Amino acid sequence: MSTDADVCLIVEGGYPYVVGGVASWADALMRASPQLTFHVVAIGISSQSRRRSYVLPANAVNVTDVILDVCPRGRVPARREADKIKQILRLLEFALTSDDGSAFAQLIEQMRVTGFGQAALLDSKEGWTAMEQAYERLLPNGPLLDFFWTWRFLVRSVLAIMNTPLPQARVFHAVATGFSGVVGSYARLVAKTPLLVTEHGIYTNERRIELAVADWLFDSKAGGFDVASAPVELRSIWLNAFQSFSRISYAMADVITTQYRANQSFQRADGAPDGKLRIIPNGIDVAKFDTVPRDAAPRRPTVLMIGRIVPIKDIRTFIIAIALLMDLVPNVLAILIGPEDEDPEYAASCRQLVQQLGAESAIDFLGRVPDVLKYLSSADVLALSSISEAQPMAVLEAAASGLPIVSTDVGSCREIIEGFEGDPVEGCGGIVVEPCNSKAMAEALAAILRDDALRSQMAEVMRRRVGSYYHKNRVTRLYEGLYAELMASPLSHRAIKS
Amino acid sequence: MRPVTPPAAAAQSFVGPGEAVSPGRQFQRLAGLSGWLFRFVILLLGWQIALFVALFGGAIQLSAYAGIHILGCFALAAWLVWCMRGSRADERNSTALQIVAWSAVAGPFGAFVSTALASHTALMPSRIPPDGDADDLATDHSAGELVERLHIALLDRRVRLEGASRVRPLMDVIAEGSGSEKLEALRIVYRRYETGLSAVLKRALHDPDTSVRVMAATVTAKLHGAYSRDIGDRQTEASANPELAQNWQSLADARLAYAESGLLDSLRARAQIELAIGDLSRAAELDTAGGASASLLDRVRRRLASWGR
Repeated sequence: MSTDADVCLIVEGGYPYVVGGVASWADALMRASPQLTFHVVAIGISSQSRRRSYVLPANAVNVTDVILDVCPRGRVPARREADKIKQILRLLEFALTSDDGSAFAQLIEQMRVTGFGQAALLDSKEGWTAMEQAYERLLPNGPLLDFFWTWRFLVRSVLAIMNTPLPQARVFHAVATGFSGVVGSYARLVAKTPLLVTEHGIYTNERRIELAVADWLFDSKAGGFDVASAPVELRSIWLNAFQSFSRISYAMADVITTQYRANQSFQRADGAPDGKLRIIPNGIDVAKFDTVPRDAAPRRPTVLMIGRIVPIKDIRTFIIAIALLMDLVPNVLAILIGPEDEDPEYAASCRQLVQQLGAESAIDFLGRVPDVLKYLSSADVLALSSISEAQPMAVLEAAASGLPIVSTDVGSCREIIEGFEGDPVEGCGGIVVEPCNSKAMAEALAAILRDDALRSQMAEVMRRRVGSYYHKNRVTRLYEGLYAELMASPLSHRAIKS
Repeated sequence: MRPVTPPAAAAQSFVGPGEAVSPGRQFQRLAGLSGWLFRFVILLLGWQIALFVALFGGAIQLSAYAGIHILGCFALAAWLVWCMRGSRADERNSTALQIVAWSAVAGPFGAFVSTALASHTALMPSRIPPDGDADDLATDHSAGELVERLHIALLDRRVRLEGASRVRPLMDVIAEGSGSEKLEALRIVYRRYETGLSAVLKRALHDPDTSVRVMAATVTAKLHGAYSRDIGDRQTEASANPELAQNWQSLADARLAYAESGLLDSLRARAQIELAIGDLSRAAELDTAGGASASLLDRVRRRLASWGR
């Protein structure tokens, strides 16, 4: 029996609609293995634009959208089915708070048997009562209206996932836990197909940080300054749901990969079994970047920054660093390459900051550019001021093209720049600075820009390290080997036969 | 954390649940006068009324009335002035002196009017001047009395922050807490940010745990963003209406708040203060009548000068 695709790639909030690190990775992954076919499941919400930012590669056979806030109404329940609705909603509550996969499996079975949807589980009297009871248990004395909308979104998202038309694939590959992981787990249980989960950043950590500083979430400040009291707030509901999603994903996955060692300790802490954990780094086309000749024409000392103009990249720290650098390296030029449409307000505040600091002559915002290679060849150093990263492609590409790097100590940037245990290439390919420290970044950039010998030495280290460990061919072989291993498992054969 | 005793309950605890209040005390509280002053006023009024009744009853002549009245008031005033020389700003004596002065002019009617005025003033809520310092408060009789009452109430545990001793300082949590405690501490720092918490943030930026560093960096960036956005908004307002002194002062306020936030290194904080001085100079030029900008400008200049030393 034929399948729709060899691999079903499940991505959340990104590919093929939004440009970004993980989206680029997904695109590169598919292009690197043209002999395999891919079916993309793109998870998003209804308010997100569905205009494609990527041209799908030839081996991407189809895209299925899962819209989390749109779920089928389902049939209207009969009066005698009240107990069944209550039972399903209890399972749902468990899946959204403290599941390890068992409630989720039962839930799928119950949903399949009853055919319930929004009409029964959210819009019925029993649905309302269950919501009230969940409110009493999960957010007692909290704002009911906020809980109502949160509950409604979370239940709808699970219902939407359970109504996803699953493509026939030999392996399901979820990029992250969270909603992607839940779709993958659903596929694992329903289609009995092997599941691979790849985490770039740790989903629960990222959400925890996002929720802690989210201004849209009501915070009663009831706990005062006491960290031990952990008052129940609306953010706890979201965080519990994401943690539960991670546990479900880890329980259902056959293999869990991440790009660097530090991430594995977080995965273990969140319940990922040791035996499932593996490391596969990001890979880049070294030949493409290595062969670009350096631009020898006389020019201003140039700092390059490649990334979306969004808060997580902390562009503001970079701008302040450049303003400070203007005193240390006169005539310096900083080029920012990256789209500004994801958070226009932040982008506008960055431009405003450039004006405030009087650094207009030193900083150029170029937006998206068709050919990044041209800028890589004519820059002296790449800067990365991010607050959070996993294994940034921009750093690897710049390193391959022979640029020293100044980066904040995030994700695996230190590993890339300074090396890791057992690294055959010795030496530093740049300088790692602490996040949010514009002075340290300015000083590091100045040290590299002022010293030609140091710059060449660092560039050479970077080239060699990326060539040996982060080479696309090596990484592609690792993924293809993993896919082959999973496809060869008895589970995969059973799925195809069925 | 258990709930903190609310202010209303704390105020109630000063009185004590079983304290019996006599009708005389109730009248005295209503009049708003302290015990000594209350007795003084009653005696003065009694004396004045008796003298007045004696005059109209024909018991004494007008000349005798005038003599006793003037001499009596003079003697009382002299005694009060003598009492006041020892204690600086004794509110009771000065109020009594005013009542005596009024009664000297208008007899018992004057005493009545001045007592009524004094009671009204005493019943007004106390207002601590915004620039008042601790010394002023310490010498103030009513403030001192209030502090003593609060002290006693704390000693006999009628006012307390339950479990306050169990709350660990955020700096200790960052230094030796678990990963999740550190993240929770940083969430609190973000939600309740004030200058003193910048040290907690700075320490967290060097934490060995990546998530804590990322969270600290996120909080730092969000706070920088909030201050800068505020400055940017006010800059836009000032550019749109440059003739309004208020806009420039408000821009200076935003810059000063950023400079004092503890988020900036000294060089950048100084730069913000210098920019604020520029904005305040502009506001002072436009605000020739008010003078508020000028006085703030003066204070900021002094602060910048002391920074340099």
